[in-house]
Amino acid sequence: MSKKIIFESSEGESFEVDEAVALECQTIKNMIEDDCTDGGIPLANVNSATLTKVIDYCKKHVEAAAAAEANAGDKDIYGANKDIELKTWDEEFVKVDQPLLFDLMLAANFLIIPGLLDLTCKTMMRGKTVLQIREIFHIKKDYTDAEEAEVRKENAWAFE
Amino acid sequence: MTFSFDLAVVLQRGRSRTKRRRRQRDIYKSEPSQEITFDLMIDILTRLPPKSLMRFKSVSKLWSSLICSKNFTNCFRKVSSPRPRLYMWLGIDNKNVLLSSSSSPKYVSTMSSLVVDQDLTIPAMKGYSVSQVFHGLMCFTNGQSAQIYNTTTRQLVFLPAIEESNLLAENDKSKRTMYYLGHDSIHDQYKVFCTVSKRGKRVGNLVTWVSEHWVYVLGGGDVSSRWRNIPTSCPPHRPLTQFNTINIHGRMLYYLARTHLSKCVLVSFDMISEEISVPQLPEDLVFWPRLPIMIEIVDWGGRVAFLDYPDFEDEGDGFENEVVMKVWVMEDAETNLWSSKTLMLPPSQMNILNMPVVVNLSLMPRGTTREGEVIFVPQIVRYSKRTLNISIDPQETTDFYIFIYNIQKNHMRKVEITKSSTRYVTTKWDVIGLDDVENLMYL
Repeated sequence: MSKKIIFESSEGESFEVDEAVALECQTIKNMIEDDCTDGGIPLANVNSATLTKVIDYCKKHVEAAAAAEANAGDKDIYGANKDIELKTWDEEFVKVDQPLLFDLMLAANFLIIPGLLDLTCKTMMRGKTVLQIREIFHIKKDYTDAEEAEVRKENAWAFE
Repeated sequence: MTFSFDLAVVLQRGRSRTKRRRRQRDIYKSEPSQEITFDLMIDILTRLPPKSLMRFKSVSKLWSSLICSKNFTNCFRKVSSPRPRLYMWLGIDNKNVLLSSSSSPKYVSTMSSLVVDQDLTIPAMKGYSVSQVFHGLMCFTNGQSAQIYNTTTRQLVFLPAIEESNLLAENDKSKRTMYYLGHDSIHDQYKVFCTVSKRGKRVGNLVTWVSEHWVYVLGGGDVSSRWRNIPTSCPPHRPLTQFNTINIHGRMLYYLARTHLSKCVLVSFDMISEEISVPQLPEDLVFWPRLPIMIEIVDWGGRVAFLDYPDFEDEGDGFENEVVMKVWVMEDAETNLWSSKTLMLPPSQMNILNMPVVVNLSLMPRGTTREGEVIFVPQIVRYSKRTLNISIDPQETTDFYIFIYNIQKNHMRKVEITKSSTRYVTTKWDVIGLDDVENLMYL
């Protein structure tokens, strides 16, 4: 039986996962290597809802990697399909509300899960208008209307 | 605005924002985890496509100066891994259209099919011609006047006039100004190298040339930036055409030129040391006495090479028999050591070359892929018996395609370029080159 790692969310809830799944997080990988995971890993800045999603993501990607390795010989035939399947799964995975997406991104950044960080960043920014970006990141407009119009004009093609 | 100042602003704002954000996010039961740090913000932005970044310059002054900063553009260049793009121009209703195409997602690794997916035409390029694409930058020229176009950000700027030039100050119709782009990796500077030439005194029947060389450092709108004269002891020369130019590893620029006695020379310019030199040519290399010379310089696996490119005369047998290319590769620049070889395409490859128009077809090298494969563009060679002149023109066909030649495997393949719109149906088209850099550099 594989070794288990216990995560503790900010609410104090425990989550038991296979070591292989935990290794998807670079931060945890370093902790495991340093042998300081006994008694669970408290994640004070990741809540239960986010942690559940993060574990789902890591599990799926560990499984997909294992399947890809098993099928390495038939890669020409199945490899491409598997990639497409995983991509579709990823797309479904990030169909969540904005606050959860935001928390997932922060968790991916904190736990260092490059794939998830890339996925959440791109999803969060995709197709967003300038106004939406200001809302998401709480940025106050510091341009005057005339200045903003000028910057828009300079980059008009990007608004097409 | 300096970078450290930006950072200070962000930190200050980060603090003042925290409370507001907590209140708002309480609505969603979940506790706020942590604030977005400046590093994470940059991390997010480097993952975005350039078009989004250009749009998000409107978010705030801070974002705009961040996206334009040299740190960010360097970071973006390292992170982004764009698909190679083939740039081409079309002539439609007497207007020039600048397009770029990239591999269709299905064939990214093999680049066996290209799709036109960007129209980069902007009104300000009217009347200008483009010769080269380098790290996402293009140089548009119209006589002496030149503009630099960033194909990623679509920013277009005029280069200042070379005010100190004696040749440009003269009212002489034989003046010719050529601009070339390159990168100085030591100082991380994009440079424009310019050769101004004109006819010198006639010595009997012989034409002599006078030339000047200038360098301009791009970027930042730095007021102190100006054209610097590059002194040289190399013979005065006249660059041939804008096509006979290559750039090896961004640093070494090579172009063909004529010097006294109409002798053809290879000229090199080192973007780092800013030295101009004239390497010796292979002994058995013979140029046509007239333009065009039917021999091109190519980037041959990272080395400069001459290629006697395959061409087929009217009376010839076309591609059915054989395709022979002779190539001279510079093995050692220090000792001027050249090697030469003759390459013959295997007969099994002939059918791919049997294209709609075979008669008078010639394959002109027009760039090299990152993998070192040579890109050939079909051109028509016309020979006038009356004037003894040769002209080389883009092939008059509405089918866009190129050939990609693998040096190691001696294998040529045809790559079709699919038009995304019927608007692009024209017989006037030519390839500018291939490029695989997305450059956010603010000019």
